[in-house]
Amino acid sequence: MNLQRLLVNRMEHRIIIGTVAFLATLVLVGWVAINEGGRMTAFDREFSARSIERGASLFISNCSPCHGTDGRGTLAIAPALDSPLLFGHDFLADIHKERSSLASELDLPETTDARKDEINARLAELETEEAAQTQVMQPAIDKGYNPDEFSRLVDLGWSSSLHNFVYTTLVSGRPVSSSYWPQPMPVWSQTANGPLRADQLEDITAFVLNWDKGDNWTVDDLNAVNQFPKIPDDPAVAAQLQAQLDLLQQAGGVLPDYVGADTPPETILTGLADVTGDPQRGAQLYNGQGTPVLPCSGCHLVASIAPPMEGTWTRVQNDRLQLPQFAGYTGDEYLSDSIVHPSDYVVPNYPDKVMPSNFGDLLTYQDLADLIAYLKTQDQS
Amino acid sequence: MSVLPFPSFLDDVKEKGLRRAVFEGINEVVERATAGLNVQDLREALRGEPASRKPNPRLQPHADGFWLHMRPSYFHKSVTGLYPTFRLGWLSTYFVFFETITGILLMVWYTPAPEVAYTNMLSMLSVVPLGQFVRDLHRLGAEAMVLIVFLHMLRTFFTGSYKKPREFTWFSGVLLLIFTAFLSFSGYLLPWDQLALWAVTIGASMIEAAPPEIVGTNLNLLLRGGPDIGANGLLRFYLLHVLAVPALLFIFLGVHYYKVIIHAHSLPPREENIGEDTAKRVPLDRRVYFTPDILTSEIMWIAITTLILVILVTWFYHAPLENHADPQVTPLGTTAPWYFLWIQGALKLGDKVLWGIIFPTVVIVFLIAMPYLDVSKTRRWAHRRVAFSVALVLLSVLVLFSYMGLPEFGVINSADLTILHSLLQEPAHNHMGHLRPIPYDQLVTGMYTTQEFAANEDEAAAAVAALNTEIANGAYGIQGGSTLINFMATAPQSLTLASMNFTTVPADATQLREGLEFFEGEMKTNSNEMLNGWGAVIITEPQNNLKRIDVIITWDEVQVENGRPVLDENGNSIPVLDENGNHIRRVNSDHTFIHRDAQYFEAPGA
Amino acid sequence: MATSITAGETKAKVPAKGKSAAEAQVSAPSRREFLYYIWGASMALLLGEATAGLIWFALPRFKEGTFGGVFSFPPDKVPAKLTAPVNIPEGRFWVSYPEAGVIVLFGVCTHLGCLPKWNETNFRFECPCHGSKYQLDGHYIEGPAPRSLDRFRTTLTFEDGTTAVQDSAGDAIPVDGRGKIVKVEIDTGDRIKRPGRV
Repeated sequence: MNLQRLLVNRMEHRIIIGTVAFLATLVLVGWVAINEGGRMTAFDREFSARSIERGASLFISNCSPCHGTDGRGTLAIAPALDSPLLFGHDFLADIHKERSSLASELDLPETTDARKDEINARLAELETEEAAQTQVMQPAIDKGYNPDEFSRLVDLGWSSSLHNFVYTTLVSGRPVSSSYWPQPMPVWSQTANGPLRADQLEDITAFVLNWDKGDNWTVDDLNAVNQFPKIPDDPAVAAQLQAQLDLLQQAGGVLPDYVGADTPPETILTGLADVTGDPQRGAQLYNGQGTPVLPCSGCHLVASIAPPMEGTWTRVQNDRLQLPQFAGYTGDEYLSDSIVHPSDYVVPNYPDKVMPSNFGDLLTYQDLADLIAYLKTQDQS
Repeated sequence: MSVLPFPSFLDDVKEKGLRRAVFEGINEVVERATAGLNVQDLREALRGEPASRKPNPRLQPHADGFWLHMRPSYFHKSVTGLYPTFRLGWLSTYFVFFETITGILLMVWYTPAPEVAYTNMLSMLSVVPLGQFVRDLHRLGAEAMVLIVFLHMLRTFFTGSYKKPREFTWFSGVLLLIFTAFLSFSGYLLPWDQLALWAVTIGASMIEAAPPEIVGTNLNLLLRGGPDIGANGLLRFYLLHVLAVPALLFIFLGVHYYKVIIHAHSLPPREENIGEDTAKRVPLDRRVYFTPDILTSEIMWIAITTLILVILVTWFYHAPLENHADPQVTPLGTTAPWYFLWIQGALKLGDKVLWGIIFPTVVIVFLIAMPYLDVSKTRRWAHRRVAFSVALVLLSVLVLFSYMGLPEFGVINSADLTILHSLLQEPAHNHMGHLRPIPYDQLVTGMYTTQEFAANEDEAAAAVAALNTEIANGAYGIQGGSTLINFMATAPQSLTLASMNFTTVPADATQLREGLEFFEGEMKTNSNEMLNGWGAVIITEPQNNLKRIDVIITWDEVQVENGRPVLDENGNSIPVLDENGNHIRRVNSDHTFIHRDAQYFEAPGA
Repeated sequence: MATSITAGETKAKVPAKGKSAAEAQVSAPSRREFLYYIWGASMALLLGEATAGLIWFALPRFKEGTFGGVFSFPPDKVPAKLTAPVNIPEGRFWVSYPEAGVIVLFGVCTHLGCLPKWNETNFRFECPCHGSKYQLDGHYIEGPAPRSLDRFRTTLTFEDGTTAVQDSAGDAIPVDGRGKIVKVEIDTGDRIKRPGRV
């Protein structure tokens, strides 16, 4: 047996083999040790990559219903995270910088008059450039963006890092935001009775921070944002107010006959009996193209956020009205109640209080009837 | 007259001269340290010469020294070859110490709490120099130890060394095998990843089957420290792993080795008359002394073993670490450790109590009782045909059961789940989904379908176009009248698509092409269960350097019995029809995200 | 010494020794011997008690609201008849409303303790480990599971103040025509195992 001869019979063989084995181990351990730095760096890079991957999955299942699958926020529901504002990108940085350096040069005593004229000409140019830039950002400005307050963290006076801002928001939520948003940012950390572990929150944070484009943010990114950190109070609401005033004038100083958010269902039914719904106008209202401006289509688009518009009437007939608590209800009754009193019944698996409860104050009986008429056309078959 | 007020080394120097005094001093220190060997004796031993003084000084340390009193002063020449021991006993012992040392090193960086255990693992990999190295050594050593101890038992059986008077040695050895397996198993949980949690959950669930019910339930509670494995369970497994079981192991290692020495290593069967045990009566010319023969041999074996372990962990083996343990999600394809696969395989035969508890207990009791049942005196191979046959049958059963314990065997998951898993599975058990190792740049955003590969190569583009037309015309509406786009838009997919428009895979994305070819192959294999089925892969890029891969499978439902499609006389599956007599279209989907830096294609198992 | 005794001699001596041993056995135990036995017995008893105490010490106990205790479930979250069941992960149960009535299923596979997921497309529970499948009411469909999903003893209180408790067979509680449910209590310490795959 050769192995026997090699390993056992001669003492010298054992000594040599043992020595070679020890030396080889020594070299190998040394080799591993030399490569440790590179290995640890590679591990960190791969690990943070996989952390982002896991964060993306968690974001899809936990955050996207409000913040959008693309992270651009949902109108009147939750702010965008894929937003230059969160990462503090200043689109006018170059202009501001040049202007301030020119302005200080202008004040220097040694500046010649010729140079002063040059500077003033350039300043005027910059003014035009800024106006042009601002013009490009107009869609975002309409949604409440202010080009001079370009950093959310600075606005809030947050002195720590963006990572900590995102992470702590995840950990403890934003309980105060309930006075502002229809649904507050909930608590996510298990330490505060939320559903997610610390490492999962880190994963989500890594994913959110991966939206940072650094210097490569474009105005298109800005304009694509659906919702900035504040519910847009200026244009939409102002237009709505103006429209109401117009209506007021047309009606000879009498306010339109709003349904009223607190009106009981029976009264609403009585009111609806006097009007006939127009599905075409209902479609316009539904899609935010009528007056008042309604955000229905923003959420009732995909089933991950809210029950989709498509097939509404089929579901009302086949599912909802079959439930014991709606025995004796008609479809009109169910729909009007759902629009005016959204919390009376929430479809299972959707959160309560996401749908605003003030539609009664915005809609006339005619508006409500038009909406219902439109929804009745949404027959799946 | 002494130089100092008491007798000292200086007196020696004065008396004998410096050189001689120093030499004698060293000689004395060496003799005391070795409990009997002076420099001259040592050098004679190293040179391989017989001892020049009597009584033989090389025997002295075995009588006077602590360490060597545990070891015999000489072995029979017949047991010092490769055969009959193969050094498996010595290697088992070496692994006990190897695991103890690497284990203590790991304890430096480990806290047994669910909040931090996994983070500890990560920091071990990310900031501890040689952290991965030590962890790999410990894990590989643990698995190797189970194997070596098992082989040691097999060897003992085949040489008949369990027979009288070594029955009790065998018994303590069986205990050591059990302790080894349990040590390895209890260590499984500590990294607190998904593999750990669910492999141990499955293992612990077997204990729950112990009859009667109240015993099983409470044993399970005692072990887990709660209804399922959480902080208490982790702490208990940790304590078992680092304290209780090692303590038992060391005690019984002592018992076992004491018995080995008392009876001496049994000689190869052919060297003794039947019924004789001459291991203790070693003729002078057959003696191989411990110093230096056995000692060099033992050190050589641990040198070789260590080298093999280091080579393996440097290039070929890394201890697995999956995602953080999640008690609320069981990953697909979870299995117990490989050395418990035989129990898992047995469990697939039926009753949990019978196969999960009674069967392993019977096996262990049979092992323990074997020396008392097989009382024939002969150790000759030729006389033990029955015993060998039984053993070989049992070994075959063990291998067969282990094979049956594999997650692939006899587990009927629906075809769609299996395919989704085979495409997207996270790295686990050295496997990962076929789409993961594709280099990032080959994941070209777009929509691709297996229909491209179901067709002949020259008709591929036409097949894709045909599918697009079919979808545009409203085909493949899924149950309830919804469309694939709507299905994708709903949770949990939540992928908003403007349209479904498939294209052919770009020619330079060879690995993506291979992935889809594999996908099509799976669809074809399962075409009985998934009638008119086809699959799609949609790649999007939701963020910079982050791509999302969605896999969609859609098919017509067929009649299924016991997880297999029912076939008619022509060997075709039978579609399930709705009330209008139409086929029922099913769809399933899963997705994953791939980051540019994730480097799955470099991971083991890629 | 030992070498000088031949086999024959040893044999010859054995009966005499054996006889004296037998005589010693029939003689009544002496006082001291008896005391030793008592001492030994007390030691054994103490060890037994210590073992029992150790088990008691190490056995986990459950408080209300943690798994193993009684959970109360918001009645408005009870799913509609024949719709997807509702999972309460911390209680490891699913509240389900199949044809027969409300039922609370223990969400752990009866095979080896993995957690089956609700598959809405196939409208059934599917276990990711070894492929066991269960219907909405936990009824075994296929796979290696030895029995259907276990159930938790559930008490329903209705708006008229009447209550319905699950019977020991664990059958679903019929709720049709009993009005609104105002309270759902689930005793996760009282698990009802179904006899086989029913």
